[in-house]
Amino acid sequence: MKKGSISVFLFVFYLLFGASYLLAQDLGPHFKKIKDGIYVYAQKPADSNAGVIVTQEGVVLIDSGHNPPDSQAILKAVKQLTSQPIRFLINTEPHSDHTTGHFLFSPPAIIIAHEGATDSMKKAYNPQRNEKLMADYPDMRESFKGFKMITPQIEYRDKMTLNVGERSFELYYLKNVHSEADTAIWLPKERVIFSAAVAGVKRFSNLRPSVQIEDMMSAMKMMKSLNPEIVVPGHGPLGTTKIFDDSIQYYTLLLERVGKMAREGKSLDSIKKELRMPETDDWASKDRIDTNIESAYRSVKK
Amino acid sequence: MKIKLTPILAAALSLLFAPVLSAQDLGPQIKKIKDGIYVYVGKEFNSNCGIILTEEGVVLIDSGHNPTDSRAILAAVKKLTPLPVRFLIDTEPHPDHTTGHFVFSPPATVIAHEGATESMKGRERESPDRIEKMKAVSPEMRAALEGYRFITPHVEYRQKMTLNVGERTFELMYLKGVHSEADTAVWLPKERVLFSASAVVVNQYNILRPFVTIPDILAAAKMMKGLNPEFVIPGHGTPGTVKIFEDSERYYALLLERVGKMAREGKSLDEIKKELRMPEYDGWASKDRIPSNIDAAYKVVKGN
Repeated sequence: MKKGSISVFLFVFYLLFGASYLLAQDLGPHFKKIKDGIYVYAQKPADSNAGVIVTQEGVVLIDSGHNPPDSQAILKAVKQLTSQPIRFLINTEPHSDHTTGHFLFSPPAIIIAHEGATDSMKKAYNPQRNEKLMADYPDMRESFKGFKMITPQIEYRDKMTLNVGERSFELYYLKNVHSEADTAIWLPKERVIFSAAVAGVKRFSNLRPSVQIEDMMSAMKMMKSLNPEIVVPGHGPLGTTKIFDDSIQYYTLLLERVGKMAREGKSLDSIKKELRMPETDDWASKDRIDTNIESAYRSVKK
Repeated sequence: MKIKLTPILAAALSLLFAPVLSAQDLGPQIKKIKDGIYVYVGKEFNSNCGIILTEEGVVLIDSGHNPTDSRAILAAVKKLTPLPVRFLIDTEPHPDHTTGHFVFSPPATVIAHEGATESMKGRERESPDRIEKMKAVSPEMRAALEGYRFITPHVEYRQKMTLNVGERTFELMYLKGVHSEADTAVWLPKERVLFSASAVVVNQYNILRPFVTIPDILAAAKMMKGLNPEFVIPGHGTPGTVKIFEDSERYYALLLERVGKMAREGKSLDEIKKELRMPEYDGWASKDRIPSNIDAAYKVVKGN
């Protein structure tokens, strides 16, 4: 082959396989393509996940990354994927590990969260957290430039639908599962659910006093009934409805054992000391088990 | 001396007057309600449109009766601020509130209650030649429809939603069974301004479709009155105060009383329609809608 025809061949090859097939790999190692136009970003296994959904009329983000450097990586990837702007940013929860990077997207992005998210963000806002992050990770300082706390423009109650281009996003409030304002996002046509921080893969959740195990279980049953193909939890690896099954199984067992011990007259302290859950020995974040026992104890004592 | 002073004086005068753009300069249909809150009042019971300025852009409430109105609204917005129209809230999905959406969106994000998209699509299917017919109305209408696109809501909330834009807060409340499939009242709590949708109209009979109930209208009016608004901007008709609700409450109470009495006397719905007189409301417009009011009242007094 002549030199010219080789370059023509290469050019055509590039057009066919290069330009139109932007691999998730090209976006960096922390991006995972889950369906056409739907990507998930997570840097470390325990960090919060962010969803990037491309539509014909702009991009929808789900959470803005764990910390501002993550938000910057997301912004860079979006620019590689499309020339369209990020139009909406949906919050699965108001905690800072899902919302600190908002300022990098909004304005112009419109932020959507459940009622109570603004209040929660304002109450929890702690500038020292940002200072500490920057002190601990000096390379983070750059990404915090221009930081402003950005609270949601839209706060819905219980249920909302967002239509952008060819896609629909159904937002469901999950009551008492993790924060003051948890939202699951369901893409019915794509059968993908962003299930917020109600459950992760092989990881104990931190159950705050406002969390009710019964509410968590009914939220997971509701999400399972939507029949999703892919489940993207707020933190940790993606999976299927097995995430819900495993979690429901765990809480059922926990309630059963704590209930039995409570009926035997054991105090919360002795339950904490004596309870064994060998079935979930391989789960991470064991320091959170105590909060799980406290929550189960509240349930069985009701 | 005189010559030197003139440009300074002119500059001073322009400084004084430039920021004070009076509602008059925006055309006769624009009424200023409060600082940064304007209403484009529809002519002859045409739909109203709210224009609310914030530090972070403009929020519209409905997009005008016809695209010619939408164009006039856009021109007024441009005189008021260089900021874009960021949100458009629909008080209802009917075409006399939504046909002009394409003038503002994109980029504006359209917000409505659940069911609005379906209602809009249904009407579009029923009359696919609607826009062509509209264009034939006048050369102005044809020009205003340039670039027409059917734009449905991006955000559909259920029951209750809050929109925060710049320094302002908008509380969206669903009004069930009052007029359309998806009626929304928009309440600005700090400004005490309420956009009350088409739950009640002013000096006009409302059309009560089969799914509209008088108890739902009265409950909505009571709820909105309970917010204690200073200004009430109905979907159609002259902006006013809570008196708009009180007038409507009185009318429906009288209607129910008279229809109830006649029904108890054994009169049929048809007879009631023929015999009922409401001389107190002789001045109200849209008398062709009275039978739909009697239908709704008859359902109430018959207990269904």
